[in-house]
Amino acid sequence: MSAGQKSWIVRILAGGLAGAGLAGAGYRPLFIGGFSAPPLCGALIQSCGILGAVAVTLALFFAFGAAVGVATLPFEGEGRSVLLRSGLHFLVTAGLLGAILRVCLGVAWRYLPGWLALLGAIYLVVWLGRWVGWYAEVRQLRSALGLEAGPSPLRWRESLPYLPVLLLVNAVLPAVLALLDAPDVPVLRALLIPCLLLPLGGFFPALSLGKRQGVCLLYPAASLLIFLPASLWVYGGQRIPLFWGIALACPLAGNLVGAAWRRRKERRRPQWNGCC
Amino acid sequence: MRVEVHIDPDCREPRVTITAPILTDEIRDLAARLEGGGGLTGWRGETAVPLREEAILRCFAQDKGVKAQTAEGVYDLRERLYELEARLDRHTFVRISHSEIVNLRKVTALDLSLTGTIKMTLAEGVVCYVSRRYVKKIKEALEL
Repeated sequence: MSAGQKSWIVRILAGGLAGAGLAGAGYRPLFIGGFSAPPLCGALIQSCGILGAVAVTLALFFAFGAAVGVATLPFEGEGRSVLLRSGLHFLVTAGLLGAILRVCLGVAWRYLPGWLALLGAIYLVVWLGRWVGWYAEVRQLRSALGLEAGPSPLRWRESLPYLPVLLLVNAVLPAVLALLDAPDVPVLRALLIPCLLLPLGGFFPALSLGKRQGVCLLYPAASLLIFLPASLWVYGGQRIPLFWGIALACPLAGNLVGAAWRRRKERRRPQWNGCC
Repeated sequence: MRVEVHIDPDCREPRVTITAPILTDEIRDLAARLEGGGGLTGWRGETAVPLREEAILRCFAQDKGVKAQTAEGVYDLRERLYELEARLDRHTFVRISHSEIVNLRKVTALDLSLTGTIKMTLAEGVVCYVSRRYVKKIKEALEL
């Protein structure tokens, strides 16, 4: 057995036992209830009996604990394999968490997306933490090799010149259109902003940024952050997630297309292969 | 092979004489290596070419063989990568992946992707990729 396999098994067992231990420690609220509160696993107990409910709960908590135990392993290595492994681990962990919340704890369906978003945010923080470590390492190597410092973290500095465009498209123009809009038939706010201004104004500057600088994920995030408060003012306090999605998705798509174009161009550039 | 070293105080510069019954590839290799100082011997067919260490961009495994790349071209090597690793200057030549050793003096750029892949650009626009497992070796070579 290799050291890697041993590490997986040890982590699965340690995490799984910790998960099962957690379920065991919470046996009273889970299976018995207290005072006037019914047991959290009430529905499960009704459907498969107390022994079945205990078995299912222990199995799910064990599996979730095991998934948490091996959480750092999928992030090892680099490239596409990290994306695939961590994506797969996220799906498994999200499935187990969803099952625990829904089946064992009786959490309503409508609250599940919020919990899964929280899990996704944890993954994002872990990934960001690792990336910052890699960035610091590469920066150190560049310095030791006497090379230029390279792009800023997540290319925030390279994205800055595009910030005025974002402010114009996502805040200033919607505000002006809102002032100009007819109060009875709000065509500008209902059609022009979501169907023309946000998609085109989001996509094309981001396309240009992607072509020049590559993937800059902070740009679409900034687009959403700028549009959120502006939209609340423009739409009189109404929350319209569809428009927020457009403000995020269009710059993201533009940036990714631009970055893909740039990468393709770099690959097509005649590369010296050393053959005479 | 028998090696004899004669110390002669009257000798002005070191001289090496190879005595062999027939001229073989090994003898050519040895002669080229001795002539080339601290370099390697690259092969193009039956022709041995001395490669100076400072001219080598990278050594890499390809098609079950090992090759060295310089600004002039790609040459076959007779050594294995682990042999090269031991033979070349460890502060200048570093293994960056399972199949590649690069000359750190020839690095012109390092780029980090969002997924952690490190793209290394060498002189002449040669691109190679650093495996994360070998980053520690690069740091050691640079005494970081």
